[in-house]
Amino acid sequence: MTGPMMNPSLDAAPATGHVAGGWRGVLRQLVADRMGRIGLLMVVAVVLVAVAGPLLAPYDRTAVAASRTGILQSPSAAHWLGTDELGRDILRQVLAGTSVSLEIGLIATLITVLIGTAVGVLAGWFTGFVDAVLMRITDFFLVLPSLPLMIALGAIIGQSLTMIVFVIALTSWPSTARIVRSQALAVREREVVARARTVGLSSAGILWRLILPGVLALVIANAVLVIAGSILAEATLSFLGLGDPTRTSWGQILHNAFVTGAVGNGYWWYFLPPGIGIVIVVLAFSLVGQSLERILDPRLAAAA
Amino acid sequence: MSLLRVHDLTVAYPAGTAMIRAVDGVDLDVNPGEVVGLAGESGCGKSTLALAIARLLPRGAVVSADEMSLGGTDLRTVADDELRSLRWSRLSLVFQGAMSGFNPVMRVGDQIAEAIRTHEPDAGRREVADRVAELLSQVGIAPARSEDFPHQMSGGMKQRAMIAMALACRPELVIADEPTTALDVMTQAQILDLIRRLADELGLAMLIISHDLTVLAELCDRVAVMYAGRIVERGEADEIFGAAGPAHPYTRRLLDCYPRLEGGQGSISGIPGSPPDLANPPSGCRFHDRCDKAVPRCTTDDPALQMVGSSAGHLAACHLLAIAEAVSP
Amino acid sequence: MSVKQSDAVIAEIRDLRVHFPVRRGRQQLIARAVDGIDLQIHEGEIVALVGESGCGKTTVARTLMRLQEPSSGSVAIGGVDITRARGRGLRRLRRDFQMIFQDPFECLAPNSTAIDVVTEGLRIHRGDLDAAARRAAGLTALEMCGLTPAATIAERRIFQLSGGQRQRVAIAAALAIEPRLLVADEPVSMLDVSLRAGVIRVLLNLRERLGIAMLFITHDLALAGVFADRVAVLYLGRVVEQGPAAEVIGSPRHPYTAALVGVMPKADGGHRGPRPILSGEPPNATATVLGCRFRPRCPLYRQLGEPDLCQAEEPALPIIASDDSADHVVACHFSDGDTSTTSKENIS
Repeated sequence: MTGPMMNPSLDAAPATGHVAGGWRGVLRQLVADRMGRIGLLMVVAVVLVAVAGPLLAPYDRTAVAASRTGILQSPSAAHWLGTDELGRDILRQVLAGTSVSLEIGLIATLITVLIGTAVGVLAGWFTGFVDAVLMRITDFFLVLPSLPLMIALGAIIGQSLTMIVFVIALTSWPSTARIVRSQALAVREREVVARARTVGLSSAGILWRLILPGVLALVIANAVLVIAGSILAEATLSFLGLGDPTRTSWGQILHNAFVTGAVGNGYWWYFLPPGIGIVIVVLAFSLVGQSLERILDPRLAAAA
Repeated sequence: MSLLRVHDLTVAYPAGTAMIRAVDGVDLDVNPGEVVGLAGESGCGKSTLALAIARLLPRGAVVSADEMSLGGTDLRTVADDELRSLRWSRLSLVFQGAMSGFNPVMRVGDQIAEAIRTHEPDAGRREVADRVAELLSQVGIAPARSEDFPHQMSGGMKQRAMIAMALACRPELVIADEPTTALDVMTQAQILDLIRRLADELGLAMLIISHDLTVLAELCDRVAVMYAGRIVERGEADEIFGAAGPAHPYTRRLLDCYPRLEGGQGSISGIPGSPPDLANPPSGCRFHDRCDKAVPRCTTDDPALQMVGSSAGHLAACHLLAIAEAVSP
Repeated sequence: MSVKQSDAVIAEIRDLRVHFPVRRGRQQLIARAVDGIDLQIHEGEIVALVGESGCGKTTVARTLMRLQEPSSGSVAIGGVDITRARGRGLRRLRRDFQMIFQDPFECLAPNSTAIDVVTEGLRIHRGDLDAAARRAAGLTALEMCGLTPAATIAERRIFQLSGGQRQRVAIAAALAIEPRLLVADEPVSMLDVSLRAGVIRVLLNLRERLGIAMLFITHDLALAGVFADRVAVLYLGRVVEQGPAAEVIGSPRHPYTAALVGVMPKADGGHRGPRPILSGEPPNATATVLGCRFRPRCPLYRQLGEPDLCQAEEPALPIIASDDSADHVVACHFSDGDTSTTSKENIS
């Protein structure tokens, strides 16, 4: 038997997890993929808005209306998206909400990925008893319902965005752990790992230098999808009134809109913008995440 | 009158802005009842050549040929439906790794039967079943094993079954790509014995592709050797593997790479360097940078296939032949 | 005859057995991949372990490297029983025995540089060396393996190298820590025929200059015959014949060895006449065979009229054939004579 042809145009990503061209190559492939390209543009737009947004609308977010005529106004030249029940400019709130939603999404994702990857890698590497114990713990957290947990914790700790982040991470890390574990198990069987053992590398060394890099690609793709999920989760929880009323997140705006009866009374400028904002952000990260998954998962690449 | 005629076949793949010519102007003929071998190492283009003939190349490959015909049919332009009926009834294939040839969820006997029925829809059930049993025993498998699923068969047995399936519709030509790679040496001997016997008994025409010269020495009447997309030598197997030895330096060095016990440790020999980048083939002879007999002309002129001595069937693409001719009285 | 070979035993395998539980349908079977192997490797010696798939040769290699736990038996390297070692102690011992793997595209991390791969072992086992010393040793190793100019190749990444080059990097990495034993598992099977000699020469060079002993696993009997000093032929987990390479292949005493020699592929001479090809395939390791495990396929058994001894008793090493050297041993009840004539005809 002879080795494979060194023909770059016909090579799929080989089983050893080397992605042709490194991370720059990944970026190139992401841009080449239509879905990925659209998602990437949307993400960039969202991030720009989050960073620069508050500078765009001149109004003070919390400035309330001087009189009753200033409340619940439909869009006008003065207020592009109208005002809410306290006369506050909605555009300003929506723009501010972008950064809040992103912030929460990113922090929750970071915690989720850290815990999920650690658990997944350890379970996948040690197998046996350690794997069994870790997986039972994972299963326990997997079935925890987030809503009742939030309510209970909210009553105990008090409602805040920190608590939301905490609960989202708590209920999201198990699925990341399971994905990482599968990949860790696969990486463990590779000949690179067998050779590393014969050279004398310790378990810790192999984990750090071979297993972790081997799961990294999948973790990143998964993380991007978790961002989407976290933002949606936060929006849901805030909408249900479990969020922090003092911070303006889109979910919180929706909550206010709902409570004020905006839906029934047709104050579309109140509930549509934050809703659309949520859709755009979640869609953006989902597109990028799915595209990355396609590019980085060697099995999917081979099937393509 | 040749059965398979291929003239000036070129297969190119786009890679970035360049075109890589995996097969570059190749001529190949197979006569009825003849076993022809195509030898070469990885990247030489032999598998691409086989796929081109069978019209199984991936999309994006650019194929051109002056002629490529099986019997009277022009393989370059044949329509899809005729191609489908042609495959298996006139031209069948045995590929390496017999596992990829079989459907894992169908019994082996059923798959062979299906192949027969697709091309002979009028054949009765009894007749088909009898044919399957006959085919299996011809390749040395007990007919009862037709009930097995592919995963229940060993590597050697699957390869035999693959051969049985290839012969099911009594094709004119069988193309076998690395038919014994990944098989144990004893099993390989069994399969080669089988192929040789079947070729003799049934008068089959075969094109055998292998990187393993020992396989071709065993089976073939005529052999062609490929290097960097070109055929560098062709001729009767007896001439090339016989006492006089091959005429082309590459073939000679390649034969020397197979260890011979009499030679001892010192006889272990290889070929320095590596095959050329097909996107940028070197000027002159493609083998000149690795050839120990190269003369200045080899770096500038690309040699064409020319006769070796007086035997019309033995050709090699090497300038040294002309020099030898000029020198000898 | 080779330089630096001595009578000192570097590696000693005693009654090694590796059994795997296997479930087939409802049954719980045992696959006896390695079923009682004794083998000695002397300093500077190259021993080839030859056999077809399923004979256990790869399992022996992996068990030797402690990638696989033995069910019973022991392996001693440099006098130390490595089968008892664990954890950090085992990792320290690993310096003495290193392995070259079969697939050069699967065993090295593609993004590492060649020098990183070569100096990795030094980082682990030679804490006394600083970075500059490690680099120097790494470059020397690369040069010894024919990868020149070493300084340029050192900075190349593995995915930029060809199969033959990767194998040389792997060999350089192994020799950098100066092991006493090198286990090479089919190191050239996945390389093109023209590239194999380069890698084989590197290994021979190592033996010449550094006196490293080698266990060379291969299915290619011809290569084993040319490359190794001694050959051990495996069948279904046991050694059936063992001895000096030229002798075992030149005059095989076991009917299985004779059959393997008979079907050895040859590139010259064109078509050959009829030769004895064994029918069937080796049974898998879960099968239980009474007496000699080669009996079902043994041509000698049939030739001798199916003697009861072959079914009653499993033949053991050593049974020394009379006119060969003392270390040519065979596990066969009837090894004197008959097989040698058949095989000699085929070697010419």
